[in-house]
Amino acid sequence: MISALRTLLLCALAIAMLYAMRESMPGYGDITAPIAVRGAVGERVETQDFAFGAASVHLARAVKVESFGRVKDYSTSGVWLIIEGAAVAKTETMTLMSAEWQAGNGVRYALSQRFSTVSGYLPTERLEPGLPRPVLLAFELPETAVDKGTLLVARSLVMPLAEELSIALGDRKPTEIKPSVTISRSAGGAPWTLAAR
Amino acid sequence: MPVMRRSKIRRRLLVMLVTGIGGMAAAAISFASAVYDAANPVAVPTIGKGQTVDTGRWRVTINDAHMSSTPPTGTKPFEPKRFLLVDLELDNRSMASSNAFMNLITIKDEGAPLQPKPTYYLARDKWIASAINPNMPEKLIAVWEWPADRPEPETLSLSIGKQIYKPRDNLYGAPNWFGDGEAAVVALAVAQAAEPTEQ
Amino acid sequence: MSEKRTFWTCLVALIVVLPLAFVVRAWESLRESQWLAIHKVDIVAEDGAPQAFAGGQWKLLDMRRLPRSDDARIILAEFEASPTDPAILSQGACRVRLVDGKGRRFEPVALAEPAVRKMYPEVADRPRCGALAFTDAKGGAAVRMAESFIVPAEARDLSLRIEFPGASEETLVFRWTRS
Repeated sequence: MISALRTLLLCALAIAMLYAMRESMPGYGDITAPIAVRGAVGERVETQDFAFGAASVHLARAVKVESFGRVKDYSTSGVWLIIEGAAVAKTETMTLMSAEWQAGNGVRYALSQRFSTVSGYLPTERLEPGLPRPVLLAFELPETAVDKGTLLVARSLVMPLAEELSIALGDRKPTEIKPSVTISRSAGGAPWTLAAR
Repeated sequence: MPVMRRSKIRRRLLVMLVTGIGGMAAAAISFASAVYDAANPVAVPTIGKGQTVDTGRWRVTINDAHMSSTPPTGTKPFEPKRFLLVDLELDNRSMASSNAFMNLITIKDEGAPLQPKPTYYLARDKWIASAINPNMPEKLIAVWEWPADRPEPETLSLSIGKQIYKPRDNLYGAPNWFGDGEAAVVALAVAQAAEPTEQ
Repeated sequence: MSEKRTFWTCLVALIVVLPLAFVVRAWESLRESQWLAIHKVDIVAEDGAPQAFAGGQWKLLDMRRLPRSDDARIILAEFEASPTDPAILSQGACRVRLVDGKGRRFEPVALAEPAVRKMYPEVADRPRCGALAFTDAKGGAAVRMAESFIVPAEARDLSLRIEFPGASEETLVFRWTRS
């Protein structure tokens, strides 16, 4: 009787242990996940291969892009989050292909594809080692995703075990949502100028 | 002690028998259920326009379809062309922005599939759509270039594909989305081009 | 041998065999890894000395430093290859990079910079290194090529690395110490 009980108990224990091991085993996605390098808006964040710094963050209901006298309007059902920053390669010529906005609840928003013609837009900007370039990023987000969000920047979305910057907005959250922001080509210095209207 | 040993052997035999029968039964049930599922496919529901299909990852509503001689951008193509425009609404319910919907909505037709894949435009500002963000339902216009040698359709059947999320796939154990057949077929009438097609 | 002794022998053998199995399985990966890779010696040629490489006789003609902006310079590298074995040359894909003293690797720019076009129009029209450049080559005549790079103003000790996967396993390195 007692021995049968003991066998049953041992069986249950074995099942529980197997279950715990199965649940706690990291998946392929976790094993090959990018290595996070943490930073905040307003500081230079370094990885082995590149450095990136977010300088200013803007929120707007609409974005206008001025180029060669024509104005294109970009609307959104949420808000536009626009980040101005600078990036520099350290070891070799590269392009930072991947940028995502991770909301506080873990939902990931891809970089908007709609500004790929604006000069200085991050995934189109070629970075030469040692030559910092001003870069522009734009995300289309629901308003609730801005708070507690982090900016994730990496060389590529699919490179396993590469370094990925995780830049917290912190207390640099813009205080107001501007009705409209205009991005236009500038004559010298930065490739664009940003004006709230 | 021969008596003791015989009882031990008998017990072992019993254990082997029970596990053997249990295992066989499990395999047989699993095989039979697979055969049964293959023999009796669940009918894909056919719904009308304006009804929302919940495919798991996406919520899709097909609102309307019409033919036109201009794409949504409003600029008439150089050579006269015909376009099939489908108004739809998409809601991404997954954790990340995605453009997977572009492969999930296809025209169900006896004829050869329409070759160029549809171009998706945002209904609100008529720009070409890319990935759709979670928690941001979006109204889109899917545009198929209608072949010149085919008569204009009066009705249209759209097949809405489904995807399943596997936290660990069979090959690497990596999390990903995989195709999972059809969620629904949407049948609707196609309104003809309002404006005369000649220049 | 007693049963006990066999047990312990097996256990000790396991300690040896298990890591061995791991090494055997991972041998290829280990050999390809950075630390254990047997670094192939590059072919180094100094200041415009001709060098046989990938079915041709290669020579760095000039490396010019042109102004671009306050902190950036254009490096215009001009080099030539006289095919000795055109079949090998047209097989591979040429990959050219510029490496500076700190080991930073610069990829060539696809479009000739306006400054290059203005100052050296005849160099700007030269083909870039690739199979296309060699298809027009007539029997043994030298093919002149040019590549331009954008580097920081402080970049020094530049060398041009030419890889020709498909035609050669080695890397040709042109060191430039002049100017």
